[in-house]
Amino acid sequence: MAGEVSLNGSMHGTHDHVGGNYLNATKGLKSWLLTLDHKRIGIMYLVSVCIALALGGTFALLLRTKLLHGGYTPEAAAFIGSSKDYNQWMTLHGAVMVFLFMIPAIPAAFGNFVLPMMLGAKDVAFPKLNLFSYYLYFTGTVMFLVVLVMGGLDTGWTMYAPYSIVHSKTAVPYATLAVFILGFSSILTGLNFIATIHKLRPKGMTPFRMPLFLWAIYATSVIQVLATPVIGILTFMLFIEKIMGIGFFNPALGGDPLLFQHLFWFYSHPAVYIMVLPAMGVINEVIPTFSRKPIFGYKMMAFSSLAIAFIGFVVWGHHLFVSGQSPFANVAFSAITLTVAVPSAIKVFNWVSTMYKGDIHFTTPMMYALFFIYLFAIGGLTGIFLTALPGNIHTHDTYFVIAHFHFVMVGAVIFGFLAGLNYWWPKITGKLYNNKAGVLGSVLIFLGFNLTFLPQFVMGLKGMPRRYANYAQEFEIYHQLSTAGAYLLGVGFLTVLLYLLASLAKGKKAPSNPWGAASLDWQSTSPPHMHNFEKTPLMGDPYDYSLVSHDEKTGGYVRKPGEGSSAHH
Amino acid sequence: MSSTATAEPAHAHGHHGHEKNLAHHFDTMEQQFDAGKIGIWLFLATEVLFFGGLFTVYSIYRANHPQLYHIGQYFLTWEMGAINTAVLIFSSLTAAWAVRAAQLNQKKILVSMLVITFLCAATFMVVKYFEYSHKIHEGVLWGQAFNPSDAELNHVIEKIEHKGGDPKAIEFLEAIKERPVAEKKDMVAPLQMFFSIYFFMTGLHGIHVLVGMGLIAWLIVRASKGQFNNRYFAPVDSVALYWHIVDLIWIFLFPLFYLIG
Amino acid sequence: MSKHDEHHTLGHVMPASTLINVFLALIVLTVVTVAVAQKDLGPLNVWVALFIASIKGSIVCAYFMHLKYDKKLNLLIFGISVVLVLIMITFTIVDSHFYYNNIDSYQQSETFQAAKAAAASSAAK
Ligand SMILES: [Cu+2]
Repeated sequence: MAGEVSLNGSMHGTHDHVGGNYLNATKGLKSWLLTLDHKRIGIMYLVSVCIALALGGTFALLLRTKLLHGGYTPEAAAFIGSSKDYNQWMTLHGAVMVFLFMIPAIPAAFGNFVLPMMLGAKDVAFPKLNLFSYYLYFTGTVMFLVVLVMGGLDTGWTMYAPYSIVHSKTAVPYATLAVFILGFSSILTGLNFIATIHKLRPKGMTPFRMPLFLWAIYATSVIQVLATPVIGILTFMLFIEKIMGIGFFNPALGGDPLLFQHLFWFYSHPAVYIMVLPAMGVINEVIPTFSRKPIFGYKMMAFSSLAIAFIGFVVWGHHLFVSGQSPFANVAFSAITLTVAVPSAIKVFNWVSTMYKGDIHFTTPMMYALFFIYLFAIGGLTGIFLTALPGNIHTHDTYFVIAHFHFVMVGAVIFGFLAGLNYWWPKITGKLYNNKAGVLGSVLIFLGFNLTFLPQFVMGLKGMPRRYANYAQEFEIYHQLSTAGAYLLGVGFLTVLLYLLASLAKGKKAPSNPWGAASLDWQSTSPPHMHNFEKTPLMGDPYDYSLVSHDEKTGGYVRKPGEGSSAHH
Repeated sequence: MSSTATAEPAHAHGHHGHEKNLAHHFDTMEQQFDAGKIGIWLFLATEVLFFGGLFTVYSIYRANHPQLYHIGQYFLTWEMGAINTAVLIFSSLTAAWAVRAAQLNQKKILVSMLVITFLCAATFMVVKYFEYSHKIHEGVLWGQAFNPSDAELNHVIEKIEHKGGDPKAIEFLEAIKERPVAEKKDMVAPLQMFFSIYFFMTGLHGIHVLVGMGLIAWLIVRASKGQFNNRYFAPVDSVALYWHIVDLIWIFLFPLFYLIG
Repeated sequence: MSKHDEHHTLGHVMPASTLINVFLALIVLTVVTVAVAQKDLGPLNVWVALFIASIKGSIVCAYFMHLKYDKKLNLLIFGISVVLVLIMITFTIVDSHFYYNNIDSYQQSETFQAAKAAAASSAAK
């Protein structure tokens, strides 16, 4: 091989012997925009999804404000925006939150940052592909902004045919393209993580010695790779159908509208687990760390993540119970969906058991984790009402469904995301934040969340349908409570933003391991070195907290030397 | 990534310094090769599900409207499809052989196998071009654009008679001949779905062939510069795998559209 | 890394004879599927064609794509994707038999004919 021209200068030999940490090792905008470093790409995702969260949240506040008054008098109907505006806000709130925030939030932001570090690796398996995924995400986001300019979207985030192809006058083709592109971003991220987890584990780190966050990310990635292509082809068909006058899903042209729903939910139900599994992964790290106890039932946790992922593929029909789906399929999908409750319940049981007799520290991430369990339990139990066919027919397309999935999925993502953000913040930025402000923020968000969505359970059961811009007077009190909750939620998010900005500006320097966690990522400096670790980290059980001891000098924890082998690859 | 050398990380990189195509975050070529394989196979799995959505659409319409497929098949020329099948199978052989040549450091064979594969792909697209242009000319199109000419209808009726096909199909086609366009479009409404699916699936497959041609051209350039060897041929391997999946999809498309009625 | 590894070829090298035999088998199977299609087997047509195509596909996977000699993980990945497609097709087909008459009757219905007439007249204006 000697004497041949090196093609991949960047891949070979250079070994970037950089000093300092990943934030200041190289400078300039270009060093960020073209970075192949998983940590910087993670940060770019983090900033992007936070902007998406703010955008989706703004739409939520607009639609909740509109619903402050029922439209039973003309004055009230004209309170803010028209019903058409409402349709747009409702759609864009859903679409932005699902595609731009919840799906990439935890895996793309924290997964990118933490996953290679938990493996003691230098990067993900395919760094260039990783950057490419980010730019696909970026392009998809820009496409969504184009949608806003080109007449918005009023189809609901589900874009059901034939309404979206025949009747909607809004920018449906742009939206389908955006979803198509975002889908590929998601696929490539998942692909990258699976290859990384398989091939970049250090010698001696068997699958069952990985932190559970990695199991969660792995299960998520499997869904991303195997389910997302279906929504890719579906949005592509919708796009072609719209511009070329084909009628795959239009009964007036011999098409089949239910087929659209089948294909749509073949992706979009598993997508729920793309959102919720990584959040569970974060909770798996936070709860044992702040209970100072190993996680209860490690293997059950690992397998339940995989079980949720695989069962999730065969339950999509529960979204079609009243769409004209056959009674046979209704019964089958109802029964299979109920089985999802088993692995979900195992997780809740194990989190609670981990805390049992633990030395619980009420830090900000732990607060979010505790709230997470509460939200997930309520969301999960109301899911059983919805899975059971009779209950579903009563509550189908009512606010009960809205409240259910906001508790189980949105609550999970937001609280998991904030738990992760507060947990890894010192590692990512090298700064500590004010824990009192953090706890205050978490309590505000928790109260706001409950005030927003608990009344929705009630009005849903009383028959308030979802997606309506208008309602009968009897529902007004619930809507007003809900709107008040939405604003409280907004105040909570502002609190979080403020104390994190304050931490960036003048936070105390964070020690390497401020929480006393035992996984490998905490053995790097805060913020980490450009290549993650200055010294090869010492392996050990990721939940064995006797491996670390408190260090008076830095105020953090240090790994006890000599125990465990080095994480060589 | 630019680098400003200062402190040396503790676990130095010296031990694998002489493999020049080894990325910095991998320790051995084997590890890098295996990771790449997992990556490409995951990508192929997404391709299977991507086309799987379309096969679902195909199956739903076939299961509920078998008569459409029965008639629609006669609008296609199976000989063309068969030629393309043989061409793609042969190109799969040369693609597989290209991988073998790379593994054995046979640079000349590698380049010529890649060139043959590229030419086969081009042949496939030329045949497709003739197929498509004939259909476009005769108005055998997708969705609401479906408006077959009477000449084409006569031709198809002849084919059905020749094969001793279903008299009902002939009756149906006879009935729509010599009608005003609007009326004809209305009558053939169910049949247009067959062509919508046909054009969508073969069109998407054709796009995959074009992408494959681009990738193979890129490989030809790199291979002729001698950039591949028995330790580093992942690009050849990956593109070959992609090419085989393109072939594999066609292996299913061919009988499903051209042969069975 | 030992000197030995330096020259070790990565992956499994497929013998030339195997490649050619696989190619010939694929061509033969193509001829068979065309020949069988000339006979009308009724509803069996689809299944025979799919059966032959599946054999051809498996051969391509096993030899051209090296799956037979590869890490089993890759086979698993590919297998799962195929199984999921089959699940998707089976569930939707079974379901469609129950509701398809609704779509067909919709197209015959007065509602639809009236809607179409209205659309035509509004387009004419
Ligand atoms: Cu669901």
